[in-house]
Amino acid sequence: MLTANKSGYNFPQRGDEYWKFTKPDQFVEISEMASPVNLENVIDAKSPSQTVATHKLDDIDRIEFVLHPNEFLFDQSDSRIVNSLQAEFNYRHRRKPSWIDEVSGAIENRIQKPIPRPFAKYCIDHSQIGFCMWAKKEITDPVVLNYGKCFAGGAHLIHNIIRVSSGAKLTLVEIGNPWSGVNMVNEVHVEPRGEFNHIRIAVGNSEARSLFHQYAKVDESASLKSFSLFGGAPLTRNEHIIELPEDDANAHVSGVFVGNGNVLQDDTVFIRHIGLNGTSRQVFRKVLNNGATGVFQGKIHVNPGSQKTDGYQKSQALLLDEKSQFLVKPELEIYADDVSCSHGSTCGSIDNNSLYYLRSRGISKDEAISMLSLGFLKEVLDEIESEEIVANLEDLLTDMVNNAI
Amino acid sequence: MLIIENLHAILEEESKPILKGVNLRVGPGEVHAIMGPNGSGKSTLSYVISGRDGYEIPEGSITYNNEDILELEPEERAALGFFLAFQYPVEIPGVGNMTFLRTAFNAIKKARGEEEISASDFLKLVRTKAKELNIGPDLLKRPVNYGFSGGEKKRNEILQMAVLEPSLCVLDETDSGLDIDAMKQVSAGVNALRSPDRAIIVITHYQRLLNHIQPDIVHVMVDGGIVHSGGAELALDIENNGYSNILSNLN
Ligand SMILES: Nc1ncnc2c1ncn2[C@@H]1O[C@H](COP(=O)(O)OP(=O)(O)O)[C@@H](O)[C@H]1O
Ligand SMILES: [Mg+2]
Repeated sequence: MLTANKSGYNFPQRGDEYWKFTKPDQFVEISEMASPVNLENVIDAKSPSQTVATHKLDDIDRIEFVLHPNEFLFDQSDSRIVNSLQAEFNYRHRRKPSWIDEVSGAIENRIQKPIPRPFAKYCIDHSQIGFCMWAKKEITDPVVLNYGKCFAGGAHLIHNIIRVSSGAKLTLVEIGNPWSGVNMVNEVHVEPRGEFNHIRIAVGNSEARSLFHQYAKVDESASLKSFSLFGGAPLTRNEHIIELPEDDANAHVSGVFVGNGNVLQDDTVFIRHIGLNGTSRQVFRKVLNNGATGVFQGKIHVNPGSQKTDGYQKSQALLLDEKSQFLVKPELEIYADDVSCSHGSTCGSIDNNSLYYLRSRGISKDEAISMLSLGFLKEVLDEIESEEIVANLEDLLTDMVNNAI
Repeated sequence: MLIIENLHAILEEESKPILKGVNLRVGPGEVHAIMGPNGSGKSTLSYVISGRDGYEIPEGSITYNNEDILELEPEERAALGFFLAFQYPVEIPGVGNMTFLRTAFNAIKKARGEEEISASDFLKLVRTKAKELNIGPDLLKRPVNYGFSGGEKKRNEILQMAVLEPSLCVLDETDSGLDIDAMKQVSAGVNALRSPDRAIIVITHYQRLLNHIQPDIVHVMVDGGIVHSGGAELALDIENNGYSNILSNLN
């Protein structure tokens, strides 16, 4: 068994710069628990109750991959896959498509400086499973990655590699509710004029302690939009590290969390503008109830010379009781002089006027609080590109809010 | 129907007495107008009737059909048939106007033990009423009052009233911010609700609204109390002479 520092990974300690609010210990545990042995067990592992999320997307036209512990299932004859999407199951020791070498580990490696992220490195070095996807053209239907059974049972290290070719377009929806926990890394390369839309849904009651990293390199005139929806797990950290090395690139990251009880969810976002004319947006909202904790740490970093950068960052929480808390670290680090960047963080309780207005129309206090909470969160869905997906997420979000309040 | 006796209300956060002994009796089928200078307590009265918190009631009572309602929550009063068209309707981002209407409608139906209606029938009902009030379909899709113009907000209040069909309607300065056409539409909406078992209280500054919604009784509120009541002609008198006559008679 590996332990924190013996393994040579120098895992973060409690209190380290980006670990002031969330304790890293449990992620060390999850990372070390995830071993090949567990992989075998998973096949027979009792599947936790299906996540609400899985059902919700059923009525959308999509290309779906269901990930199993040692393979992944999809319709091999689907012409959309044959023609424009190369997708491989990345199972170490079995087959490894050559194209991924260009991306694998490279993006993460590039961005290790100035802040090393040992958990991500650990995942990349040790993961046995993952998914490699290369969009070569515009893929109109969303691609759904359903972690299904893979997330049942023990902890997992999952390393996904995603490449979007020049001018190609990919919408990827990752659905899955880890049962015990996961240390997962996505490495994403969006080539010039490419468009990558990403939605992660990890919803439903579980015991999961999950750590997600998404490393992305967004090239000239390319765009990345990533939205995440979390709720139901005791501990989640969602980390985005995005680099815009060329001009006119665009990165949006957004997320919603519904927290109820003794849970913590942490969004940590680091966007580095290197090229000219880049735009970035960070939009996060959380509803926190019964002592839930929300964390947001976000940085817009603008290199010297990255003129005309437009950076926006806003994190907001609605606290439904006095024990809940929202801990934030919004940062701007700007070395160019001709930029427009803003950041803001707010934290409040339900607005009394709005509550009274709804109640005066016959809506009960509890229902009014649910409606206002949902309204608060729903605004973030505007960040998502696909209206069809938004419509589906609205239903899911409604269920989540009604369950948590 | 509605009986208010010696009602006192203190604004809790300021420990400030606002209502200082209001007496008002409104019977079924009646339309009452309450006029009065700014700051006399008209909106406060409407809030206390509808159950807003933040007020202490040291003295007095409000009964509705012989039931003491002062302890009831706003939603319970709504279920009894109370409706307040707000002077300043609240903007609620993220909550769709249609969703809001349907939730309110169903909540009230449920509280009254009545059957809910199907989604499509409800949609038809709202569309018809909205059309009468010149409220376009886009306003139904948008978040409640969010980014609405002053007039749109007021019309949206009347739409809610028309859909929820309350038995006691209180309209707080619904005419302010309305142009003449909008005022006609809104008044028509209110008049359509006039019925022998429904009471309406219209709070206004201006007599002109009362040309469209003809009151049975006009009250004048000054400094937290109703100081004078009369017929519809009282409104005209106020329009022509202001409150000075009434105030000097008081002194
Ligand atoms: N939130 C508040 N804080 C302080 N004073 C208030 C507040 N609301 C109302 N008041 C005061 O209460 C009095 C009555 O106000 P209001 O009921 O709005 O009068 P009207 O509707 O007749 O113009 C006024 O003196 C007003 O300044
Ligand atoms: Mg007023």
